Amino acid sequence: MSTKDPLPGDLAIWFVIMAEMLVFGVFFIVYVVVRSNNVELFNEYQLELHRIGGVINTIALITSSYFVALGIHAIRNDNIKRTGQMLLLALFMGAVFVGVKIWEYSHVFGAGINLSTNTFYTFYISLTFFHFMHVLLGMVILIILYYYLQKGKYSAQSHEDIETGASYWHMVDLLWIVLFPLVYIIR
Amino acid sequence: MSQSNFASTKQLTIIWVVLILLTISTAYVGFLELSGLAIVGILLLTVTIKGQLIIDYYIGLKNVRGFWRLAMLGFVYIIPIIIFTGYYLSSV
Repeated sequence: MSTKDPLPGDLAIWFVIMAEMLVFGVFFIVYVVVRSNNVELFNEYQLELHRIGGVINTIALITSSYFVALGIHAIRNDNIKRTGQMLLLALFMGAVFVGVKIWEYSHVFGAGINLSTNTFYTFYISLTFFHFMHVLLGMVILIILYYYLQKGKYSAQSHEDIETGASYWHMVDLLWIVLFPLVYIIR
Repeated sequence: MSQSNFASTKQLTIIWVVLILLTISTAYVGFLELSGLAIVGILLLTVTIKGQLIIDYYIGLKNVRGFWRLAMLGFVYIIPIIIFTGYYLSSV
């Protein structure tokens, strides 16, 4: 029989997550509204994006979330070593995302494209860069969690910080899951 | 609180495989450069499915009752519906 679970992590992170998702939600809606007045332009320039990079990044974030979820599972079983390994693997996949994104941006900016090139690129650059900053922040949080894990701060009985950081990291993944098809695929 | 409420490693792995397969299918549609409302609807449905799997099993809200789970699920249901509506209106 299933019983009610408590909210994972600190309550404060959930207000942060809600605020972030609201901001991105509004961003996505504005993208759709502006696109509806510029369908041909959006369809034309969307084809210039590096879809393979987008796919690799989606797989990287999903896999990173998977490792974080395994890390939570491990800490609940008091397996500190495995938790650390999972956090490192999650960080590695986050680094893959960052590397691919930097490669993608180098091609875009190298081609002379910037925020004012056209409306599509205004949205592409601002939306993906805003998300990119969240990935970087999420990675900093994972590094801090790994540091304190190695210091012996967390156990099966006391690991709210890890759940808090994990919830934030999953939110970053969730946002990309909407952003990727919206900006790179759907036409 | 029962430990059995949380997803097992086997469940987490199965969900990872499903998420990857859905991502690859989305990518395949992208490489074929398919368009049309039916395609948009299918792609957005995969967004909702992936979102709910992450919310329920990776974040672990499946057995969390009340506002927070509904708010998170609202994001992966309402946003795709709004996106679909926008694409529908721009196609008529």
